[in-house]
Amino acid sequence: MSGKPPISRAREIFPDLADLSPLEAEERIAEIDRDDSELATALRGLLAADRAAGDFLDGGAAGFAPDLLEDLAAENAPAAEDRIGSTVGPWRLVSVLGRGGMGEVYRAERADGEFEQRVALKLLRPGAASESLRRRFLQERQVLARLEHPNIARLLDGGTDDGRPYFVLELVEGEPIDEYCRDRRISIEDRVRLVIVCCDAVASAHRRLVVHRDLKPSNILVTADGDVKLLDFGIAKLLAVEEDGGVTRVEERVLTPDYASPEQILGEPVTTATDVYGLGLVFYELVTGRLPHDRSSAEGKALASNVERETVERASRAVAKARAEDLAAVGLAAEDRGRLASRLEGDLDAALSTALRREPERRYASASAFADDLRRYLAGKPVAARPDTVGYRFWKFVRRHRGGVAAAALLFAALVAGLAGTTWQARRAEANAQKAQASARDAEAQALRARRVQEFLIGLFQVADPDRSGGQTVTANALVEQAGRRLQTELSAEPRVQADLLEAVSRIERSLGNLDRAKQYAEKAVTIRRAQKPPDEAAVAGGLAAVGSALTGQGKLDEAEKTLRQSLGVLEKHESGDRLAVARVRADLSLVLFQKGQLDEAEKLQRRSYEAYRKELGADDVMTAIHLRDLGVILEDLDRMDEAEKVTRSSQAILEHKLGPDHVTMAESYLDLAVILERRGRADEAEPLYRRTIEIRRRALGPGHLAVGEALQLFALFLRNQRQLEESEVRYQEALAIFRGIDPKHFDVGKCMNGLALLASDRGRYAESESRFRELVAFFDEVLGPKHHFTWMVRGNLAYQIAAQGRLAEAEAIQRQVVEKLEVITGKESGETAEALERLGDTLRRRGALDEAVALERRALAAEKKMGGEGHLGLAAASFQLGAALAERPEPESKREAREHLDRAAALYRKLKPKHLRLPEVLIASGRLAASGGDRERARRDLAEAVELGSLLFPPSDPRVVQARRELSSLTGRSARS
Amino acid sequence: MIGNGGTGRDQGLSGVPRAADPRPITALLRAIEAGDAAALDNLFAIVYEELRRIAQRQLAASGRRRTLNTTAVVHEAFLKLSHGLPWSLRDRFHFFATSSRAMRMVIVDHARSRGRQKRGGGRPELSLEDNVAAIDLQSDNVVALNDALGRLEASDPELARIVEWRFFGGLSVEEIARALDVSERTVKRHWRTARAFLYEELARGGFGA
Repeated sequence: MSGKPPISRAREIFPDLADLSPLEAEERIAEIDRDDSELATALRGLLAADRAAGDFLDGGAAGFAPDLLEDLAAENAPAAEDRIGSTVGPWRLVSVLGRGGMGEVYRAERADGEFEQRVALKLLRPGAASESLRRRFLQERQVLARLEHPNIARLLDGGTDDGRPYFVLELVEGEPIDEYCRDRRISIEDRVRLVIVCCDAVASAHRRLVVHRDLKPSNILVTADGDVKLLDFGIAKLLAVEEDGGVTRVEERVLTPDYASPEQILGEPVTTATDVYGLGLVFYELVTGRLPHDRSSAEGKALASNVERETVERASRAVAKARAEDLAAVGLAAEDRGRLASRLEGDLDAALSTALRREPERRYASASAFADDLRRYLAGKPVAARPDTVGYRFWKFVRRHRGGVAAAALLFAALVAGLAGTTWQARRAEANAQKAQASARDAEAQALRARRVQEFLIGLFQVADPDRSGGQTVTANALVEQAGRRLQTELSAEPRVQADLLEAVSRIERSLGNLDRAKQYAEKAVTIRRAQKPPDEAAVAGGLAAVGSALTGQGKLDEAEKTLRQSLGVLEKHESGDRLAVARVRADLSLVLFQKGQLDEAEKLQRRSYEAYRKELGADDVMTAIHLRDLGVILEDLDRMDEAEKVTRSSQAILEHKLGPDHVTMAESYLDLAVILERRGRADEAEPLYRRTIEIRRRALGPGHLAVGEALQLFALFLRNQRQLEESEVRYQEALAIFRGIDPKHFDVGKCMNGLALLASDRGRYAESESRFRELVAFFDEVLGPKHHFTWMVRGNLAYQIAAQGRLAEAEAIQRQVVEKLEVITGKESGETAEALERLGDTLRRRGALDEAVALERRALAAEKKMGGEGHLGLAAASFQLGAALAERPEPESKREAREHLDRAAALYRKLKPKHLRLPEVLIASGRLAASGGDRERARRDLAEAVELGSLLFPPSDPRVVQARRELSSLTGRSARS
Repeated sequence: MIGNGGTGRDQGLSGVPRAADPRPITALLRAIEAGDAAALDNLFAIVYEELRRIAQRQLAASGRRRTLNTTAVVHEAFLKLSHGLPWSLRDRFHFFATSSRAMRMVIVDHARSRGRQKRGGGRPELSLEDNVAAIDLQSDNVVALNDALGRLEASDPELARIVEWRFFGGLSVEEIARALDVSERTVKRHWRTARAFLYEELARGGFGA
């Protein structure tokens, strides 16, 4: 028993004793004491100690010796700690956050205590960049300060301290993205998501003309919440030292060659494409555990020549043969290699090799494009990245350059528009001054304003200079956005100029489709103008007009009309003022009224507006011609087709002459004319115009632009009307992809889905059509909600497809509900309700419920008649349905009445739309009616025409045509026998 | 942003091998299992360095007065050295044993060096609020605890291991139970016994708090 030390003997008994009461415990120990007094003594000692110990040692070393452990860590921190408490520039160092090759990173705070701000301060090793750094920082600070993005750590300050450059950044508590992925075993999908966030942040910086140049895992932190923050934006550029030749060479010093792009190593210009490469590298490393190249051994010239020859191994291949340690370094398991490789193969391989191309111009055109492709991957759609073929390279080269040209053209247009307004005002003011001999000072002030505007615009252009923007041609969009941002604060000493420009930018934003910003700038302009002492009433009205224009774009028509009328009222009082401003407001108001369907007043206003432009700027002016074109649209809607065509063509001629046939503005002219020609039955002339429109817009605006989608959709509709169903479907699909890309809930997404569903129905694919309509019903339920009539109208379409498949009871139930809802939403006598009644009546007729069918069709016909006009398609449809229902009744008077309605229907269709899908049905009903009345000649004639037309409009298998053909042949057969 | 090795302090690291073994951790663990004593030393050296580095950064990053979280340090080292790969029970055992021992060395070495400074530089004035006094007191306590733990080791290495792992290594009862392949109840019972033993030992020596 005494072989083991007492503690080892005690350990099996002691815990049980410790749980007993002292008295019970002592009883047990006394028992033990009889055999083993050594153990008993040990137990007594332990028991006493246990009772006295409290939570002794339970808190671990940290609880036992907290100050010692703190001291331990503190003492181990080297010299950096010595700087704690000292100041760098206006910042006091609080603690050390880390150390790296470049220097140390501290947590810091404002030394003057002016405001509380927790920041990270990077103190770099002394270097050549130091001397001019402060100056360069001040030059860049406005740009950098504008980098507001939730995923970018803002750069707050920079300079040198005692020869050491430093930067101050927003403090981020997180770990580098590679460690984050490793430690948390982040899935490949989530890694893709993280990279997408990075791409979006980088793209946002690029839009503000800042290129990172030094993207690598240690610059991309992920917080505990999974938020991504990009560090050090703009720092690499600040540290860049310009050589005499203007080539930056610094990167060698600052950058680790591992993460540098080929162009950086080769001393070629750094552009936004450099960051695309950096993002590609980070992503590559996150999914393979290694970089696509090994640059560790080479230096200097050898490095450069290696880079020239560098090829990027496909990620899937790299991962398949990766070392376990490399994979483990990013939290991937070696045994998953095979699975990983197959995940990467294909789309991700293609995306990575596109991002990592040696030549910057062959990479993704932007970080957003990279992100889009990754999103497509996540959504399971094919990515846009393509294998690197010569043809593809050429295509892409052309596309990129065209993009640049188009952006430059737009920019120029914006500039001219901005200047035109002010120079015109200056001219105007001069004229006024002379006439009234009022004040030369006024003219001078106007001239000064024009100069200020010029300066501002030139300033914008300088930023757009590729050298300053990092090599990428700046898009017009980015430029205008920047102009708007700058105008919020700049030029506030010149409030009138500021307001003028805000209005101009508001209109440009409006035309670019950025309606919220358009409204915001216009409202700001109004505020500025109202604050003037005394306020210039006319100028305030001008600002209001811009607000109204933005409201129109947002579809808030009533509000827009009110604002514009208010503006117009004031401006008309100041008729001596800017006549074009008045004309512009009239045109804006005309547009609102046009959209509200008040066509007569819209036409009047548009005409006055056009006349004013013609007088002020001449008939040949671009703006005059555009106002003329808009008049054409209104005339077309008023069904004054001759006038509409004439006006549209003469506007087109002027614009073509002034802008050239490829200008983006021409697309609208061609589209307007195409619609007119189509309506006039000249489809052959219309078709090439549609194609031309799409081509121009694709080239000028990019393939994914909203306007391209609109043109495609109109063309698809045209093609459907022309029974070119296959191409129509292709165009609808293209349009659908564009709208979905812009916003999956875009209303036009629904329009395209509807078009596709109707196409399927046209082609006799009712089951496909049914499922498409079901999808659409779900879409409208979500996007429009149950109070919108479209939501119910598409259910009507759905029911039609169901009925076409013979499921009449199911269709009837839906149709009854649709009628009920539409009566409430649109009124009992609306066109929508009438159509729903017609369709329900049709189903009831087919089910044999003739009485109710006739009653409903009568109601529908009455409503259609009230809709006005003797000849519209709704009337034709209602007449047909009533006629068809009556024709099935046995009484002779019903048959007589049926004949009347069917003849009216046929006549209307022949007149309005000879290829209408309903016409064959009307003819079949008419033929049957004739046959039942013994008029076999009429029956044969109608059925023959139905078969002929039906074969043209429907697929050969269409049951209506098949049946009609059978009836026709039996008629002919019988007549042949007789 | 994170420091790249090197502790900048060279004194007072008794018996700690300095050279890092180029072999990956997993290979070292295999070798240790095969009875390679040099591998154990090397693993210890790696872990020791890693712990010091992590400890130092962790404290530095906290910025305000906060004590060292040994649990976090050991776990971070574990993640870092294991590259997040799943380890076998044996590997885990060796790693916890090594890292807890290393952590103990790191802390005790520091306590000893503080003690030497104190004795070399003469006693400063004592004050309850004084951090220096607190550090001195805690240094003495840690050295005393370490000696007592040495005595426990001599009598019952299993009990001592649990203290080392839990107190210095910051491991949880659950982790210890899993690595030792015993029940959590057993670990708790052993801990209670060992704790009582150490308290008695230290109380005998008259430690302060």
